[in-house]
Amino acid sequence: MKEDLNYTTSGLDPRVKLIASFSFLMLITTIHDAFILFLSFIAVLCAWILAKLPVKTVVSFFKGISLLLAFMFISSTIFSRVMPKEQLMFIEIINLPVFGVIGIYEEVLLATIAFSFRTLSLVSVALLVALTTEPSKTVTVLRKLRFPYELTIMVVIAIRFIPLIVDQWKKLTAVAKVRGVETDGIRGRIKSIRRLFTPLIIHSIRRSAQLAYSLDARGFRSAKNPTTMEVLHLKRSDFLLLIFAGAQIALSVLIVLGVVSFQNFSITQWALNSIKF
Amino acid sequence: MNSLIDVENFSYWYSNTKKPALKDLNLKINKGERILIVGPSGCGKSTLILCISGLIPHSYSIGKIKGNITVGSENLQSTPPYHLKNKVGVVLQNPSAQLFALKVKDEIAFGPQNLGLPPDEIKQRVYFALEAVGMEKFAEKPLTELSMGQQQRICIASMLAFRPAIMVFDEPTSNIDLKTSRKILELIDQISNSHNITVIITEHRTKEVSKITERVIVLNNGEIAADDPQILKDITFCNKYGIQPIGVSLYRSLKAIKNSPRTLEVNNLSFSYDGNTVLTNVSFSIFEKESVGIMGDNGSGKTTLALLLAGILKPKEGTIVIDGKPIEKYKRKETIRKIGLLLQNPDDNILTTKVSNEILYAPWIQRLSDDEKAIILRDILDKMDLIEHRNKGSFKISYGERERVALSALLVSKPKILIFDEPTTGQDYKHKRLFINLAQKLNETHTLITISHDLEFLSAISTRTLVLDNGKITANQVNQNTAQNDSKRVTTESVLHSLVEN
Repeated sequence: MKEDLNYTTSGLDPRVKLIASFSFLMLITTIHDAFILFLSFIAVLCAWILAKLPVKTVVSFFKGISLLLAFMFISSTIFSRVMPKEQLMFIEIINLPVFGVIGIYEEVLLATIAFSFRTLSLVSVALLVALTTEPSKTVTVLRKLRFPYELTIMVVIAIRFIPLIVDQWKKLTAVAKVRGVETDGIRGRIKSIRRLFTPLIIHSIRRSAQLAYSLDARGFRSAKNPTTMEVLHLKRSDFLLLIFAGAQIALSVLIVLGVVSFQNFSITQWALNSIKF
Repeated sequence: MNSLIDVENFSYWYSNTKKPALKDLNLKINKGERILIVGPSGCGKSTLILCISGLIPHSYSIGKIKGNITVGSENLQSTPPYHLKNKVGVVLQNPSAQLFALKVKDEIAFGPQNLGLPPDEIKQRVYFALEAVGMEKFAEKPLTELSMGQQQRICIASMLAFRPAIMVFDEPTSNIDLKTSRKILELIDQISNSHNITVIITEHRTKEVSKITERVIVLNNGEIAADDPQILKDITFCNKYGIQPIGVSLYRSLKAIKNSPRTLEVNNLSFSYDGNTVLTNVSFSIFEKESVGIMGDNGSGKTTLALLLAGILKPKEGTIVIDGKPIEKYKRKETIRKIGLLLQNPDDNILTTKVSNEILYAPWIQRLSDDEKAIILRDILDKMDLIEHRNKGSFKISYGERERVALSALLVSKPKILIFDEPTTGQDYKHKRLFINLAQKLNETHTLITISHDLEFLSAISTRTLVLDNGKITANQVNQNTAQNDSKRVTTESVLHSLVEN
């Protein structure tokens, strides 16, 4: 496992970034049109490029998520059974003797495409915020948002402990190997996980006891209101992003209220119709 | 003059124990004093450190206390150490277990943040502390990128950020090589001088630490056995309490190995992790029943070499040949009959919670019958002097005993070669000597490879020393004390010293 990511920090205030990503989340959950959701995903990708995220991270992210999305896409288009209130378009794929007709409802297909792009946009926005914010700043933000201090420290310790646990796991595997445990191959790995899990927990507990002393020695929970070293100030770019976030929230409220609707000029519907004829 | 720390008739019992860890202790410590506390394992040193630093009772509160510790005029039992007028800072064993933040500056800011100080004040203290330990360039670095010595400096800095009047160190150099530990001790000396800080240190490496301390207290069974700066020169006294006296080395004479067959051959071995070269073109061979020491600083590639020799890592280039056959040709079952590896920290070598299960781990993996296992267990318990501990919990026995249990778990597979990775880290003088005797006994039937940065220990245990520096073998030296000439014993250590210095 890689021990630390290289954080490309943006100059934006993490609080504003958080608000902007939540407003984006609000907006895209109110939109159901596949093409507009596709555009929103493209917009997030543009932000990725602007943030100059390392190509390696981007590629590995898409590798990870594409498998999940492909699975979701196939399963929901094939197995969704919509009870039609009105006539739905049905595209027949194959007519099997025992199973009957297997095909896709056009509406289901469209909904799935929309859903996929929504998921993609959501995850990539979350990743964008995570990769452009220093973890220590995140802590400051959580503190400013009145997140309990103990929980914030727990989050930090959890992040910090991952490489240590990996290291401990390597040591335990080495010890098991010198005592003749076969850890290579899939069977060996599964077996060694079963055998080494308990010692790993024991070692982690012992380690956390040591850490507890260290935290107490430094006055953890001694003051009612612990302060932070970093002070956050809003800049001009932050205000611009805030305005943008406000616009997104306003738009989503209007959509929910039915004032604005994409139903009448659905680009996706138009595109599909023109393909058919 | 009033003393700064006053320990009055102080006794301490851990929960569920009848015997006190500290018994009717009386101790006065003056401002600016520098004190070395020594004593055998289990003498109460660490407990005293925890009590003086206020972690008992403010962090660990389930034991029983009698008596008082006052700092200045304040009672340490009612006021936490960080709220005192004369603050107490404590640096515990093993730096990597104490650090938790992601970045250096966050780690140091943690204490002042907890005190609720304003942001400007916190920043000022962070940079003051970093400057004091000479790490001001590392403020933005992630903690995972620091070396052991640097992590220890950050531990010290995170305490300095409290602006303490007293600093307490529990074995500050036990995991660190000689060169780095000298620098850490220099740093402690310098901080104490320039900020007028009272220093209390416990340490097994008395020779190095006594250079910076002016008062020596010997603890035994929770009581003060001596309080005399000259006590470390009294060899009979030191031997009685298992402390390392100054001016005496762990010397023993060894027989040189000649004309025995080669059991292990390493040819042009290279290895790298994630693009970082750890070993380059390492070649050496080891003869049967030889005892070879491999010396090197932290990060010189010693542990990687050990993992390669034990077949846990696979070489990228070069070969490792055991008894005429490359190591990768052996099956795992066969490898463990050839070579056994004891990892650095005995705790890391423990896989089960009971001593007998721990020792019988390998036979259990091989599915031997209960009768066979009983015979193996009886033999090994007898040989390693562990019979009384057979039914105890693996973590309930002492550090040295745990190491013997881990070693027994290897010996049941009857390996020809044994590799010890830093076997004496954090162990007192008495255990060091016991380990040397044990190794001598094992050497009659096994080939030994001992990896350590402890020169004195290596010169007592090995007949030949390889020096590993930045992944390369820079010296391959037959030890002088194999010549059976007492006058040459100084040469062995000094020769090794000069090898390290270069």
